[in-house]
Amino acid sequence: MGDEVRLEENEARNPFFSNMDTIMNVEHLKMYFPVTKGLMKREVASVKAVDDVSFQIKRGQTLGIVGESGSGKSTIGNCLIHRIQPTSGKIVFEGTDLNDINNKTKRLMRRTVQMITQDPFASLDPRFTIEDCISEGLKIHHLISGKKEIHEKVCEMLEMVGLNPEVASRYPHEFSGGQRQRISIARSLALQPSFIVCDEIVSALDVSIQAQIVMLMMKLQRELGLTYVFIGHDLSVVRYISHNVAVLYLGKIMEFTSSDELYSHPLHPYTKALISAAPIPNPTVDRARERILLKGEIPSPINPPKGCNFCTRCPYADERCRQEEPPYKEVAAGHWVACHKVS
Amino acid sequence: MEDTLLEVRHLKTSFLREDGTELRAVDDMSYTVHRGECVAIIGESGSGKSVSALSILRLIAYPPGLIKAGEILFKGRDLMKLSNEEMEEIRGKEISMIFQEPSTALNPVLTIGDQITESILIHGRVKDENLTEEEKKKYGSMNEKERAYALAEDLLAKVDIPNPDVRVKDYPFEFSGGMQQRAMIAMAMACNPDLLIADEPTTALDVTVQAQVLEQLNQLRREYDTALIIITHNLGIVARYADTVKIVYGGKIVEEGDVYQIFEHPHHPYTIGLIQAVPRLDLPRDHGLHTIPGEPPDMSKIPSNCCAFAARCPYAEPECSRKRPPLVKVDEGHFCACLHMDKAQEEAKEVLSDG
Repeated sequence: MGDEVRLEENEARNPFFSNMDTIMNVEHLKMYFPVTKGLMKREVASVKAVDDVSFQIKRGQTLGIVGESGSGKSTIGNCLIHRIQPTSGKIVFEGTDLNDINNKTKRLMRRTVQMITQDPFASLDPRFTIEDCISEGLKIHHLISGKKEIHEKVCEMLEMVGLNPEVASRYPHEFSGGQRQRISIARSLALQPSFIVCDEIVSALDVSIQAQIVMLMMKLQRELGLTYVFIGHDLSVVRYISHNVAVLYLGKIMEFTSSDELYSHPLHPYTKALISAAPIPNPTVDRARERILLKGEIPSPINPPKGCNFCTRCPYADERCRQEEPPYKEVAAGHWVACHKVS
Repeated sequence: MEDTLLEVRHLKTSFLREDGTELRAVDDMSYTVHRGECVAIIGESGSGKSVSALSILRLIAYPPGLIKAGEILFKGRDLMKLSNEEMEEIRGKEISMIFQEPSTALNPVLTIGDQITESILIHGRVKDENLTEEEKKKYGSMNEKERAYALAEDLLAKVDIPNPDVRVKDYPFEFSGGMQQRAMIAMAMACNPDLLIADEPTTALDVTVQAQVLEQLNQLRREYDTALIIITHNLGIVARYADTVKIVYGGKIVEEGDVYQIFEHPHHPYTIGLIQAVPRLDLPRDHGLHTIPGEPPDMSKIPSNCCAFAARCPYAEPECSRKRPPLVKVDEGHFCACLHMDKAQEEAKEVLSDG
């Protein structure tokens, strides 16, 4: 049924395949948004959306970022595509530091780094035909000229994402959510990117369509050697598509590890709670599982708790957790955790 | 569990479009809900799962919606035959509903307390004759309005809202999404209904909050012995809480059975495809994920006398688009509507066993 893909067939997708270079290196990334008050826009506080986050992304792999709303996962995505300038920290993409980027490289980066967003209803201009949508970037970046060539390219892109090329002359409102998401993917791919940030791209879709899009993204990655950052709140979907997963909480990475380790050896109490909160679609397996219920909700990033960010909801928190921020350290090869209770 | 609470018989709900066409949102659905049971209705968007629940409460606006046929027997009374006044007596008191978007379901200009007490006062929940002994001791000396507010505070405390005596005076915008949904649960449970309908109750919430809210809902439901119809597309939630499951596709029930039968011995190709389309956290990452080709159907375009899934079904044959497959018993309490389920099931066995 459908196109089943066995991941192990493809060596390049093996998370332990070490001979791979780093496409993006993020060091101590911080993004604070000011909270202003009054007529003079006096800065009274700041929203610490992303607070000292470091990670690396290997070429051809997928980094999954999971977190609840307000954890800063979309802000990280926006920093990575250089849509917003981070408060501090360094993002090195293909050897270029995004802090001192000139206009020419910025233009190149706008082409090679793409973003696909959550809402397929808002991301396509209703007055553009599908061809206009997909070819807009091609024209801006002078990749192809000539009406016929552009049309051929658009048809090629549509076929690549599993749509009939005949739809090129139609308008977005004629398509369902899943088809629109395919069009968004085609639009991004037309610019031949090497790096795509996928921000909750399947969250708004039906279950059967989610699987289609996930499989499409994985197929495209294999064929085109793309690197993804896959942002989501559904741990099972994010883990399925990703090689490594970063678990984010209040702007900080709590745990970073390979996706198989994440389920088999989660170390951080928050990761454990997230795994426990995601029900498994099998009654025998799910009802036998240990249930960890967190109390309360994610605190405001304007006023994060002192010490460990998670201490207000953590079942194991003690005095040290409330006073001292846990260091983000590597406890096993490629497995990073920020928790006092993990040694 | 033997005690039948609700029986929906051959329900047909349609929407009449301006161009004269008819959209059969619910096309001949029948099911039974027992006392204290948790029934899950699974379907994709536009499959008619919400409309079937709204039909029970007769909350379908006419025009364009119309309940064309069917009986809804609640405690033996046919709700379709009741007057609007009699229906109002039932809504919120005997059958209540939790909606998907708590932020739009709550009235922004009334406090949470006002909204919870509204149904308490309308249905006379705190009148002397309706109080339990325990409640009489607690609220006996108060007037009706004070009792309603006291009860609202107790309900908020039950759903774990901190400082309920202060929070009861808050407006909905002062609550987070999770708290709003908990307030909705408190409101729905205010009159100890026999049946609670939850339409995608946690879709808008974060995973950890979703787990909290569902756990609370489930606890309250057990405490009051309330039957629950939960409408969702999240198979995980169903596997965790449901007793019985109805799989809805194109306005029809295509498979029904208890939760173990559905998840472990699915028969319908759609059920099989759906279960295999969801990534499993407990399996190694390279477990196969299957997709159901195509898109959910446009309901106005499928005729009544065919299998709605035929266009996406790998086993479809010409007869599938000519004949509507009847629900056939495959096991005790397990029914499936498919002409080729033997073939589907055989292949599913292989795939499910290596999962």
